[in-house]
Amino acid sequence: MNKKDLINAFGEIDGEAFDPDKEQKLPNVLTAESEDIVRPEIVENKKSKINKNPIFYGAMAVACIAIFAIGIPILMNNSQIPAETEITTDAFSEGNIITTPETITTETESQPAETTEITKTTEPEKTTEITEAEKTEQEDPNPSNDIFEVREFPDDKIVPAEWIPVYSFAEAAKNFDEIVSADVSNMDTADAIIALANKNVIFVDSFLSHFWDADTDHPYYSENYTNPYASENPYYSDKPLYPILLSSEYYTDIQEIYDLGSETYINDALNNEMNGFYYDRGKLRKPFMKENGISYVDFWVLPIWNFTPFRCRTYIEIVSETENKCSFIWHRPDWEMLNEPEEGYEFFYYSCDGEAVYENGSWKLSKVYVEGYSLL
Amino acid sequence: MKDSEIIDYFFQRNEMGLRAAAERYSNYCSKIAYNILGSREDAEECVNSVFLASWDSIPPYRPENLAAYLGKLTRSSAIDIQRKQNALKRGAGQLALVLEELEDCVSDGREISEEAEFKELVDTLKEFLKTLPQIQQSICILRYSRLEPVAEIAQRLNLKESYVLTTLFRARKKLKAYLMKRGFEV
Repeated sequence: MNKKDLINAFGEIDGEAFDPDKEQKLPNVLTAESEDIVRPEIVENKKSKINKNPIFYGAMAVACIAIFAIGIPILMNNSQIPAETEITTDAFSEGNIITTPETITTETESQPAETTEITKTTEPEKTTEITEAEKTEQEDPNPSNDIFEVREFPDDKIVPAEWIPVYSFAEAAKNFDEIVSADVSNMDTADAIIALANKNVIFVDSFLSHFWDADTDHPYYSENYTNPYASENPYYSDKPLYPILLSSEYYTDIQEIYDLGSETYINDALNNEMNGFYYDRGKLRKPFMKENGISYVDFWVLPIWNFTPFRCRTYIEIVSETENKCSFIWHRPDWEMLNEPEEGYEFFYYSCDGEAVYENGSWKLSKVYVEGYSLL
Repeated sequence: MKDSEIIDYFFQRNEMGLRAAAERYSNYCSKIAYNILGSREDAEECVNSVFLASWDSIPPYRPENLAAYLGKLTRSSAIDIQRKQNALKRGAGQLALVLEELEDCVSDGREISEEAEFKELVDTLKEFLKTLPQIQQSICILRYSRLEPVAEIAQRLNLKESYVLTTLFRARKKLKAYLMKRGFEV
């Protein structure tokens, strides 16, 4: 098979569903009825406003808390909507978490007569203390959300939490430093890997996510803006260019990434762009734990995308370890934004391999694969 | 006029069939050709040759789906034209970009020659697309069947280009894994 075959296969599917009488509509290849899914302008306008308005985040947080307070008891009593409750334990006991995946039916704005079923994961709303008894009561033995059903890792759950809006990159960076400046030389192997992974995810994810959300009106698209990651943009030969589609990169020194990160972010324009993202300050104090030979890291994923108000628990699994080399698997959920930020995110299981070497009295990541959104 | 009627006219060698096909599918084919060739004149020439080729090939061939058949002819014809023009370079059209993107999914292996094998690929691709949200299916089809520019897709769907790019990127990664899992040589 080659690329041409693949294009022809896409073409075959397109052609099978193509209706010349509805040519102005989008390909709707795998559903029974063709429908125009172009969203009305009002959605786009709303989206662009809220993406740039930090006040929105505050309002959203308040609204979420209110909805949470009012809605959860209702949900719990409503047998039509399955709720899955997760309780964090041990080192994560600072914030016990509720995740309520639900399948909802909504009417699209463009087609009020038709309904579209979407899977939606609620945004993090509130950190709540839950007792074991409540846990038993609230757990749904048959969660309807496919994402939760297909996950293979036994304890791989999405852990949204209470998010604190941050209104400047500087403020956030100060907290990032807690992770970044962690001295791994005194840590045992597992903890060192976790700490290194955290450092890595902060910077690499920051770069990539930020550029993905690039606004073409932003100053960094101007010719005067320079960026160490600038490269050729295949889509706009006449504009400055950024690595939106990185295939893979290789880092051997986490400090190098940090330095580049610091250099990149000291920029007023970026500070402004970064307004309004979220993170959980309290969780930073206890980022890891061990259980049954597996080290768990509870880090929040840096939500540089304007809307990623969630975090996840990830797992570092040490596969093999010698005096100077450590191989590990990083189990983590990955996520994908649904059609609109308001619809939430789709989560799925993801894992990647990594390697660390022991040099000069400290562990360092020796293999860090950056494949777009995949961090190791 | 329905596709089956058009094809019947083709078999009867009645040129009304050709006119009807052109009326129904010229925009569809032109768009694909233009996205590959990046030139309206070349696209027009390509589409004309496609309808002639269809006239020559039907009969004896009876396509199950006329749109798919004409789309395939258009892609092949446009790619041939572009090769002849030696225009496979950035800026000439979307084909080079799309081919580059698809390197994430497949390498330049042998071309599928067996119809059954191609059908299996189509079926697998359909299964894969079903795993994606509908809007992402559309994005993939617009990009990899019709070779529409990313900016155009974003505009059509009221999305940010970055979202379209990310969606395509992720879809390619997933598709590669999906194909490998099902035994395809990628």
